[in-house]
Amino acid sequence: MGKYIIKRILYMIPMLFCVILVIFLIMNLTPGDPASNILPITTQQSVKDAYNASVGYTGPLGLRFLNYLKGLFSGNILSYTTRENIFGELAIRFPITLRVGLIGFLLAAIIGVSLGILSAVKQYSFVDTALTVVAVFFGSVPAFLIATAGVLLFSVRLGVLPSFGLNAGIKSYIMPVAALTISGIPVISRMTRSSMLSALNQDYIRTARAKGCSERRVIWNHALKNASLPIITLLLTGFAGVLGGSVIVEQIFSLPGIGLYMLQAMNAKNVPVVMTCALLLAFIFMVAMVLMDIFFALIDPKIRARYK
Amino acid sequence: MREKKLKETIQATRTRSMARDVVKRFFRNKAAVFGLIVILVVLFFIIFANVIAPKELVTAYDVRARMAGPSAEHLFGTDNIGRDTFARIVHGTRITVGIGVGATLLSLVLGAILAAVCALFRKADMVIMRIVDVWNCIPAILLALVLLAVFGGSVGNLIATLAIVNIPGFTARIRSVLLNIVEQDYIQAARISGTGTGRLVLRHILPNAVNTIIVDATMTISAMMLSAAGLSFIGMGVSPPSPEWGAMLNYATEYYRTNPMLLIIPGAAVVITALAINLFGDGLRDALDPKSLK
Repeated sequence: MGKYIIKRILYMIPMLFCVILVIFLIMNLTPGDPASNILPITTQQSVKDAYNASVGYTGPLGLRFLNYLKGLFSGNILSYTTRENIFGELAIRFPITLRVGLIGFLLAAIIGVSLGILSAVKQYSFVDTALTVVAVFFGSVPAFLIATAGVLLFSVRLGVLPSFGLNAGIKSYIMPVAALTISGIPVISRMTRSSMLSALNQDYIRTARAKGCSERRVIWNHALKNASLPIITLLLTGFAGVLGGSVIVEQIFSLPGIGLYMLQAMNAKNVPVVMTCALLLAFIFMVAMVLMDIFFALIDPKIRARYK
Repeated sequence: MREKKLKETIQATRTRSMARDVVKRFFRNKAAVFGLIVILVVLFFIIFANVIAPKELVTAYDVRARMAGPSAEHLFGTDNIGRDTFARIVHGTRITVGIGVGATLLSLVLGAILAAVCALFRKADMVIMRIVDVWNCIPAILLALVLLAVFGGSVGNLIATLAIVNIPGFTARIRSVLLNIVEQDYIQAARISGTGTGRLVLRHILPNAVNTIIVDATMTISAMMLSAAGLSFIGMGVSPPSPEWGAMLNYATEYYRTNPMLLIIPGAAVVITALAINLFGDGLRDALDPKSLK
């Protein structure tokens, strides 16, 4: 088991390497250069060339890539625009993204899974129908529209929540988190419902009931445990969705997180910033994936047996 | 001769009754029928956009009627420079839904080819799946944003970008459907009786996989459409003055306070279309599933 976990974690390294390589190639092999994006349009070509040379956007690709890696390992990557080490900036911005994304995801997961279980247990009841209708509807409303509707209602009409920035303390987090949560719930709850239903229809559930298990035990121990594999796979997809959604939500509410930083850097062709942000997001995603695999191995004896 | 005719008759009744069953099951589902009706209206908009509202109206502005509310002349009102919102929505349908369908078809074809190669050739499977793994590790939105930032957000680029982002998902999902089928006994039987690879794929594997893939693709259209609108909304996709719905929303955010109608109409258009496609897809899945025979 321990060997499996270590193998799984080591496997992340080549994957992350591939991710930065892909982003690096896209950023460096495509038309456009930092100077043209950052300096005024009227700037002379010679000045532009000098600027590109000074930030390190010249020379052979391989060397540039090595320089980036060197910077990454020594913890010193300079932004093309500010010429400062971007790790300081990331240390301020990362917690904001993590707070919005993680809270949004956890709320969506908890509420979504609970509603899904409720729906499945009370199949075809009024609650189930109502939940399904609501889930189908909100499944078609993307996070950015929920955020916009929220701004329209709570900022413009009622004036109780701020429409942008982080100046109002916890209040500024309510709408961004809610937008992510609401857009995340429908998929999770519908998937939970269907995998719970297929688990509840199995013979071992009838056996459990027949031998006198309490209904609670049947649902939580027998059905949920068997339904949890597809649910967890889905939660991972949901996590990726929330992570992506947080980039859009940060843009809508002007939250100074990783997403907004990366978006601005993309427009300025600020390669090191884009690469580092991408690396960070990919890293979070991969950690989630490894955790999922480990959880699978813990919960599923079939998988566990393979790695004894 | 007679035998052949008999065979054909049996074949004909069989296919007809299967199709009839599916249609019957589909039309029993009210939500799915609602979805179908909305989709037909959307298709009508797409085909007859120029008849419903002249193309000039998309950019032509009526200075006398700026920020007008809904009226007989301007069904959905006008924006801040007096452009007719209804005409823009109708013409925007072509762009937004077109991007959704285009990106889905492109990624479906490429994904299906990759998946078929994976399912049939074990060695290629290893290689392709490793690439798909890496591809999947780059969060979709990230790749989309990077590509759009460097290539610029035009309709073509948006379709290509969304397709690129979507290929690994399709490849993985179709591959698992195909692998499931390939492991069935009847495929073994067909192989043993000497069926060639081409015939095996076309006659034995594809017909059994096609239902799942159609439903998957339907749902993907709405997801792609929403992504396209979202990207345009944050200014990375198609930009205003294009009547793409996300671009219209992006433009409307400046008029939050003065003219919320500008936000509500394209927002509703996006949601209703996506909802209709999802309901249709749900209904299709239930109708195509022989286990739901009632």
